[in-house]
Amino acid sequence: MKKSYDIIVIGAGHAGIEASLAAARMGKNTLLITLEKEGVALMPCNPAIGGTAKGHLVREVDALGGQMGISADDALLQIKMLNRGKGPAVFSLRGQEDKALYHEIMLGVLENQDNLEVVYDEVTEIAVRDGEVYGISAAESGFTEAKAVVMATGVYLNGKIIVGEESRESGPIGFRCATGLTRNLLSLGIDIRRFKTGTPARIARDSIDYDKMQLQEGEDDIGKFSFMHEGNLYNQLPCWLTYTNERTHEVIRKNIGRSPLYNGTIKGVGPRYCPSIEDKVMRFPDKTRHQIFVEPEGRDSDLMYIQGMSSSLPKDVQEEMYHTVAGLENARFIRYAYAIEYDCINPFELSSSLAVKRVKGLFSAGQINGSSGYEEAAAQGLIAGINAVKYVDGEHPFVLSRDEAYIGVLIDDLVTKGTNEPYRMMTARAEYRLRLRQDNADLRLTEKAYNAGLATKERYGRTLKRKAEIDEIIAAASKTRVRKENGGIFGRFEDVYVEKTISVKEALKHPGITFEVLKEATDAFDGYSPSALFSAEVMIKYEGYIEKEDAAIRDAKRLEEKVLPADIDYNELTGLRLEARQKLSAIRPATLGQASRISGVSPADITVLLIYLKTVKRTI
Amino acid sequence: MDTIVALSTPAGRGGICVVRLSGKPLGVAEKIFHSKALENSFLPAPNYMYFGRISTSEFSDLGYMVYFRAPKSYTGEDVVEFHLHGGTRIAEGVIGECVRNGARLAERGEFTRRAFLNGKMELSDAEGVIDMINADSAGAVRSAYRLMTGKLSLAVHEIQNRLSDVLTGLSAVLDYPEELEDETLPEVHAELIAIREKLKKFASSGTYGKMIKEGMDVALVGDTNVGKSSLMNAMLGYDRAIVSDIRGTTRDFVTDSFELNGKKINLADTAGIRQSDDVIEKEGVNRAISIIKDAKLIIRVFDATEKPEKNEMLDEALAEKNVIEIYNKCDLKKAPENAIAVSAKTGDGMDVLMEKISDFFDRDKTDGEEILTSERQLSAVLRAIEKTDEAISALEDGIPADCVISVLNEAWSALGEITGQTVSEKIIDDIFDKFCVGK
Repeated sequence: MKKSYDIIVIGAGHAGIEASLAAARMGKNTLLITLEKEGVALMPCNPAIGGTAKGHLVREVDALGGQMGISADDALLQIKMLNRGKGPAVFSLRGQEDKALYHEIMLGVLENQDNLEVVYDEVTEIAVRDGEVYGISAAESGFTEAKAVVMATGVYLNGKIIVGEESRESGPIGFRCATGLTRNLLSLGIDIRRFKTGTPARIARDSIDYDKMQLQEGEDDIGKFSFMHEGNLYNQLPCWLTYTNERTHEVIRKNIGRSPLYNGTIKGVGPRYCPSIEDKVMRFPDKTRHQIFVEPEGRDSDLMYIQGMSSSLPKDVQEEMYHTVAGLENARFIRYAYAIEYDCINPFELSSSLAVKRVKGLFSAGQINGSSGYEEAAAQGLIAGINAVKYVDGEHPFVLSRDEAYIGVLIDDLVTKGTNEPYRMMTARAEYRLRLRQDNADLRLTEKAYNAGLATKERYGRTLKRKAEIDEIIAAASKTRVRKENGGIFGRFEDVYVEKTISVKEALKHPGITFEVLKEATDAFDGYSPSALFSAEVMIKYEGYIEKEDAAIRDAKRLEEKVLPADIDYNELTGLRLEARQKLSAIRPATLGQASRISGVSPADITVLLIYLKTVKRTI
Repeated sequence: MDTIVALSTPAGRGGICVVRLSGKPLGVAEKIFHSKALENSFLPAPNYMYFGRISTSEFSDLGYMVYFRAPKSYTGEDVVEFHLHGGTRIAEGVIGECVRNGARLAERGEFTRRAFLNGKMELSDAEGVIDMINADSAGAVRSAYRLMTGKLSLAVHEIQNRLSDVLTGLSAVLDYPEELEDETLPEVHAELIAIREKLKKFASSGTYGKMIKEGMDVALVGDTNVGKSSLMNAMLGYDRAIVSDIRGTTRDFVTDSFELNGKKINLADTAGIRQSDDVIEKEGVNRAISIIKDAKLIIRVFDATEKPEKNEMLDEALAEKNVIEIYNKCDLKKAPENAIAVSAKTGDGMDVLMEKISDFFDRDKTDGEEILTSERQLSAVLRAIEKTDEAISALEDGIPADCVISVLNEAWSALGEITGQTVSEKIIDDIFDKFCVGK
C-alpha cells in the first residue's frame, strides 16, 4: 500500500467497484478500501440483476465501459426478457445470478486491474482542509493521501438489523458495519438521514416441495447483458412461483403488533415499491393472495431466495407464516428475513456529477445517496468514478442528460427531486422511453464514454460496426420488396384483398410483421446479426413515435437551456409560492429545466421564473 | 421594483379617467397630490378616497386619489389611482408628471403581468381578465367571469385526472409486469372513448364561446331594392346605411354590431345581387358573395310587394348556408302564408326576426358545460382530442403500451396548457402580448 493515490474509493459493493475500475481504467492511481474481502460485490438481497428499468441501467453501464454487465453474464443462472408485448421501449433483461460466482469473478477483475489496489480496512475519517479533500484515515492503515475520494459505503453506515423484537448493529448478513464515518460526515455539515430496507428469508433448497409450485423458466435465445458478448445462455436453472393465501394473511394480522414496522421500533423510511409482506397484507386487505417467487442463490448453493416475503416479524411468526404457503410447508430456515436501517446522505447535497457540493474532491455513489438496488448503485459508481478523474484532471464533469440515458434520469431525479424513500429506477420515471431503449444503449453512450477515455477501442469498434450494420439493414429494407398476398405472412395478421408488392420497410409497420416472420418471404436479411436486426426493426416499426419523441426532446431542451442566473434571489420573487422559494434557494438549480423538476416547484412557479427571466433580459 | 404608470380607462373623452401607478407609488403621489387630510404627513389610509388638487407643471385639476396597500391590490404591489376629469390633455399631463417624478410608462400588459408574478392570479385567470376587458356583450362578460374565477380550469382538470388514471394503470404494468398479474386495471379503451366524448363537448363549446366573445356574423342579402339597408337601420336602431329608392344604392357592404339578448351580433348589409355591367356594382356583388361565405347566418330579404325573380347567382352562393327568409314591406302588401313578415318602416314583425336570430345563436350552446373562449384553449382541446384519437386507434391496431403512453402524455400536456400545469414559453408570450396597457 502506497502513502498517496490519485483517487480513493471507499466501499467495494456495486457502486465502489464501478467507481474504482473506471478511475483505474482511465489511468488514475486508485485505492479501493473496504471492510472485508467477503463483502466485495456482495448481493445481500435478491440473486438477480436487471429487471424493468434496471435492465436498462445494466446495459448503459456496460455501454459506458463498466463491469456489471460482463460479470453478470459470466455468473448467469437464467435470463429473461420482461415486458415482451408491451413495446420495445420497455423490454427489460433480467438475469438470475450465482451470487458466490459473481463475487469470485468481481474479485478477480479487481485484483487483475492495472493501477488499482484493494485494501481491507475501516475508513474512519475523510480528511478535509479548507473545504477540500486531501485523503482518508483508516483504523489500521492510518492516513493515506488522495486528490479525490469517492464514498460508496452502501448500507454499512450505522447499520442496524432488526428481526422482530431483536435488533443489533450490523451490516448486511451479519457483516460488520462502519460507525465512525457518519460522525465525520455530520461534522462536514452534510445532511444525514435514515432509511430502511429489508430482505426475505433464505430457505434450504431440499426442504421445498417444488411440485406444488409453478415452474418459471428462462429464455435461451435472447442474448445477454453485455454488448461485448455474443451468443446465448443454455442449461439455465429454473425459478418457481407460488402464492400466499388467507391463512398466511391471518398469521400476519394476528401478529402485526409484534412487527417493528408497526409498533414503532423501526423509524427509517422504507421503500413503497418493495414493501414487506406485512405491509402488503395490511395495506391491501382485499387481495386474497400475493405472489412469491422462489429463486436459487447459486448453482452449488443450498439457499433459495423467497422473493415477495420480506419481513421484520419475529422468527417464530416468520416460520408460522412461511409454512402456510404451498410448497413451503416444511421449509427449513437458513436465514430469517430482516429489516436493516442505515444512514445515508440527503442527495440534495450532491451536484449532477455526484460531487458533494460542500466538499471539493468528494464524490458519493450508490445506496448512501438514498437509492436502492445493485444496478442503481453501479450506475452511480461509474459516473462518480469518471467524475473523480475529471476533477483530478481539472476537466468538465461527465453528465448524462435525461434524454440520453436512464442514468441521467436517475441522477437528475436524486439531485433535483431528492427522495423520501430508497429510490428505485422505474421506466415511468423516464420521459423519453422510446429513445432510451435497452437495445440501443451502445449507440447512445459508447462514443461518449470512448471520448471520455473509459470505453475501450475494442468496444467502440463493436459499436461502430453494429451501427453500420443497422444502417445497412434500414437501407436494404427500403429497397427490398415482398409480395403481399392472401394466405401469405400478412394474411395471418390481417385481411388482405389486394395482391401487390410492398417494401420491407412498409411491411414492418404492420402489427405482427417482424424480420423473423419476413424470413419466409425474403432471404435478403439472412446474414445480419440478431441484435442489429432487432434494433433496425424497432427503429422502422416505431419511426413515427420516435420522431415525435425527438420533437418533444427538442422542445424540452429549450427550457433546459435557459440558464438561471447564479445570483438570483428567490426570496425577492414574491410571485413564487413560499415552498418554491425555499426549495429553489436550497437547491439552486442551474437551469429552468432542472428547476421544473424540483418537487414543490409548480408549473405556475416556472411560469413566474420564465417571465422574470424575460423582464431581466429586457432591463439589461 | 420600479413604479409604473398608465391610463387605466380607455383613451379619449369621458366623464372621468383613471391613472394608475403600481410599485412604490406613494413617493410619486406625494409630489403631485395635495389634500388637506394629508397635509401633515403623506400617509394615506388604504382603500380610502381622498379629495384634493392634482398639480402638474402645466395645470392643476381637482380630483381623487385612492391608495391600495400591498398585497391587497390588483397587482399585489402598492397601487395608487388618480381619478381625474376626463380628457386626453389632463391624463397625458398627469402621466407626464408621474414620469418626471420617478415613475415609468407601463408596458403592454405590465399591470396584469405583475399581478401574475405576485401570485394574484393564475394563467387562465389572467386570460379571463383580457376577455373581460374586451367583452362587448353581457354574454361575453359572463363567460369571461367564469374563466376568471377558475371554473374552466377545474373542469379541464377533471378530464386531466381521468387521463392520469389511465396513464398510471398503463405505466404500472410496464414497471411491474409480473407482480400485477392479479390486479384489475381500468378499462383503457372504453375510458379513452369516454374522455374523447367529453373533450369533444368542450370543443363545441369552444365554437360557441368564440361566438360569444366575438359575436355572430349575420348578413342581409337579396335582390336590389328589397329594403336590406332599411332593415339594417331598423335592427341597429339608428340610420347607419344610406337608404334610397334607387336600385343598387348600396355598392359596398356596410357593417355594424348590436347587442341582442346579451349576445353580440355583427350585421353586414350587402349590395343587391344581380348581373351588372357596372364595374363598381360588379365589385360590390363580389364582396357581397364573399361576406355570404363568411357569415354564420344569412337573412335573405324578399320584397312582399313584388313577385320574387329567379336569382341563380344568389341561390348558388346560399347553397349550404343557414338562411332565414323574410318578406319586407309587409305594411304595403301581405306576405305569403307562414312566411316571416316584417316592415322595416313600421317595425312590424321585427321582434319575430330578432327572436329567430337569437335562437339560432344558441343552437350550439351546450348546457351547463364550461365554455372555452380563447383560441389558445380551443386549439389545446383540439390537440388533446387528436392525441386521444391517436391513442385509441393505436390501441385498436395493437400498438404496444409504451407508444400509447407517449401519445397520451401529449394529450395530457395539451390540457395542461389550459390549467397551467404545462409550461410553455409560447403560451406566456401569447397571453401577455394580448394585454392592453393599463390593466
